[in-house]
Amino acid sequence: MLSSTSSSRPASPAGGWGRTWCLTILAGLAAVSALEATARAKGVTPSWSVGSESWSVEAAELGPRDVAIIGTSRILSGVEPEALSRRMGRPAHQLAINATSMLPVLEWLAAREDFEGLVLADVTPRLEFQEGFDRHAAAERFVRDFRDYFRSPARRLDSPLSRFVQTHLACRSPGFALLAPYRDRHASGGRLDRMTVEGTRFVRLEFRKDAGDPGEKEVQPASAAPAGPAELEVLFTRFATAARAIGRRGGRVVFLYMPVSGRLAVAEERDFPRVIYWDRLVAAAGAEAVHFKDMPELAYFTCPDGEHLDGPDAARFTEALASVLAARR
Amino acid sequence: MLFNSLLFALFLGIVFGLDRLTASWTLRKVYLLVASYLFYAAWYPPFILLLLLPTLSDWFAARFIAATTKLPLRRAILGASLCLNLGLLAFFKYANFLWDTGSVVAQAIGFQPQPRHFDVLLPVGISFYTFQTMSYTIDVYRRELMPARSFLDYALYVAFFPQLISGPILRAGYFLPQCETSKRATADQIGWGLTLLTIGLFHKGVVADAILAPIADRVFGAQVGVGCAEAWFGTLSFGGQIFFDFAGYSSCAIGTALLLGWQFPDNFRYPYAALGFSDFWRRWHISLSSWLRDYLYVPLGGNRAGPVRRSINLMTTMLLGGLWHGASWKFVAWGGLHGLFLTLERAAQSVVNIEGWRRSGAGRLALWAVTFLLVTFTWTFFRAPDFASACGVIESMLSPARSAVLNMSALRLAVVAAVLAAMLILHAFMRDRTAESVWGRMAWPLRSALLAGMILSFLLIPGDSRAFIYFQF
Repeated sequence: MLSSTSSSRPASPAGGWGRTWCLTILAGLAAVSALEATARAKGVTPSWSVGSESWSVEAAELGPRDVAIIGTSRILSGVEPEALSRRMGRPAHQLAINATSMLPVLEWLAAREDFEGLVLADVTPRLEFQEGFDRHAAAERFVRDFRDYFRSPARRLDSPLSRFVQTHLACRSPGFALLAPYRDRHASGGRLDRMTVEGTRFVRLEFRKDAGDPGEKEVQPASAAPAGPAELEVLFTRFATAARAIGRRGGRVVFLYMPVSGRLAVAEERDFPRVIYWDRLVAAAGAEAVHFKDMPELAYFTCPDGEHLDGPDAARFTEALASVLAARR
Repeated sequence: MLFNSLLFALFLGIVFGLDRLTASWTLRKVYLLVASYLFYAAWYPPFILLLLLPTLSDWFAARFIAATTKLPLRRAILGASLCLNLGLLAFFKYANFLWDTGSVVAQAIGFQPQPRHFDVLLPVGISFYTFQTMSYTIDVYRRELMPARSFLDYALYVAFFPQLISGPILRAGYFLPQCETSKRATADQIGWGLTLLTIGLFHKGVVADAILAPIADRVFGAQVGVGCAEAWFGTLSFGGQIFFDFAGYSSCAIGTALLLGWQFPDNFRYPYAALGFSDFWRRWHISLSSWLRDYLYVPLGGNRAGPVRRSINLMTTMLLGGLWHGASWKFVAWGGLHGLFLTLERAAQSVVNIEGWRRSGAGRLALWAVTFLLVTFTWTFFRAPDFASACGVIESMLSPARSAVLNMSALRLAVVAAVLAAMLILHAFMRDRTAESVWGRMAWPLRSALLAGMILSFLLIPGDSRAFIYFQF
């Protein structure tokens, strides 16, 4: 006799399960069909997500001499990997992550002994230089997830299945999702008309043409104070260490300040003055730097929501950026 | 392989199909064992060896123990088996924790140990399957269970995939008799199994991940001191998140097993309707709490040696139960608080008529409120990344004047509040009922509407799946 066992289960509810599940499946199919029709009518294109799954797939494909595009939503929607690959003559991988610091990804690349390619690192001041290190958490999770993805057959087998479903169902696509990060943004102010995540993880944004002057938009106040001097020194050292590690292997790190416009640009300069943050980062890291304002080819781009390029502009921006990088070489 | 992944749906479809098409009972068990090992290997193939090690060692240990009557030899074999199981846990789960703690102690007495970090990958489910194999050997040692006659049955007991990663922690006495007679899931079991699977996926994917987790993540990830209301919202959200996450996993496990014709015990019984802490632990992670009671608390002496010894036994059990959840002192603190509350409850029972309170409306409300608030309070240690953050959140919870800093959307907070209120009402309603009785009385079109709603909302949740919280334990 056992001293104790957990309680046993009551009997399963009886009767009617056949018709219950038939009706459930029919109702489910009808609802999914209606949602799919709604999504397609709104012009949503079935597309993949920009979460850690697609990031892991891209990261696994990153070759030693490839181009790694890292940063935040600014570069995720501002630089087209395919166009950049054509211009640079080597594969480019979109490894940017929404709303998080890119430093953990830069450090991950620095730790990869075989990597000697080009890193295009978008620096978004409020994500890199805010007080506290919680802004690194999401990127650190992506890097951890990648290690898990790399050793887990289940993750690697599940990825093409989930990609297949997402890229065939518009109602499962991030462009239709109510919780999609871009639609949640106050800065977009409802101006965003359409969002498509392409197979390369490039996020194509299409803003309404009547979006008006970006200077009229609402600007979110900074949610935390800028990092203090001691924390800044730590950050600069980490950036410099990672950039030098890649440089020593023959790789190249280019810090990139993506276009911003309107009130958001003014607020960003007020909260994170260029001379204190950007200029010091570039000096400390000793890496190449491209600030859009310094380059006539890049300076004329404006962002309908203040910080993200419209789809057609992203293609032109990528071409212009590739020219700048080629001229530097 | 996550229950909430397409790969699992494909895997389960194949296993279910093979199980239905195969006539031989032995062959079906072989299929299930092979499927279970494939399921485990899908996380990281070398981990199979770790699953095999306690399976084989406890198989032989139990047979040797049953075969001998010499007490010292039986004790020695049991000791070796426990050392192996606990050694595996200690190495794979607690190596860094033990080293760091040892270093602090060594420094306190004048030594200067080198800082070290062991890069050990935690094998998923190790805390669960080692507890299962240990309970099997202990039951055989106590002569409460005969050793399994078939290695196939025993190996399936350890590795059966629905429970392998996060329980429920099964007892051999519950599972092995089910291996003896051929059976197939009935139509009712398949219908109800699919329903439990759907409920579990809805709890996990929609309620825990999409609605509650973002709020808990914001609050516990904040580096600045959050406001009082934010701290409460974050902690309550995590209390809801961990329930829906783990109870969701348990529902999936029970439903999956039922689809194949196997019965698993309940693991959660509406714990947020608990009236007192002993009641809470009879409703929360039941398979673990009953394991700790039977294999730790009772052998330590349980209630048998007076109130002081009982309190020590309770505290020891809950501290170790806390440590089971993770290699960190914050889990020990969480377990310690529960131990303290259980001890105080027992002490209060000798001066206050708590049973009388349970019979009156106001008394029940007071007992529920105290239990729920204190259980919620303890979640801060469970969720916070470290002690300092936990203390920061608690400080905010106790500072009504502290205003909000996180700029969270009012709509999102309203949704979270509605979900938490619905959870509490549902738990209160279901406190003395079973899901089976409620669903059994429900009209079938209503069942369909509920299930279709859950499936639809699960399908529409965007983004990547989160792993179940209890996988890390």
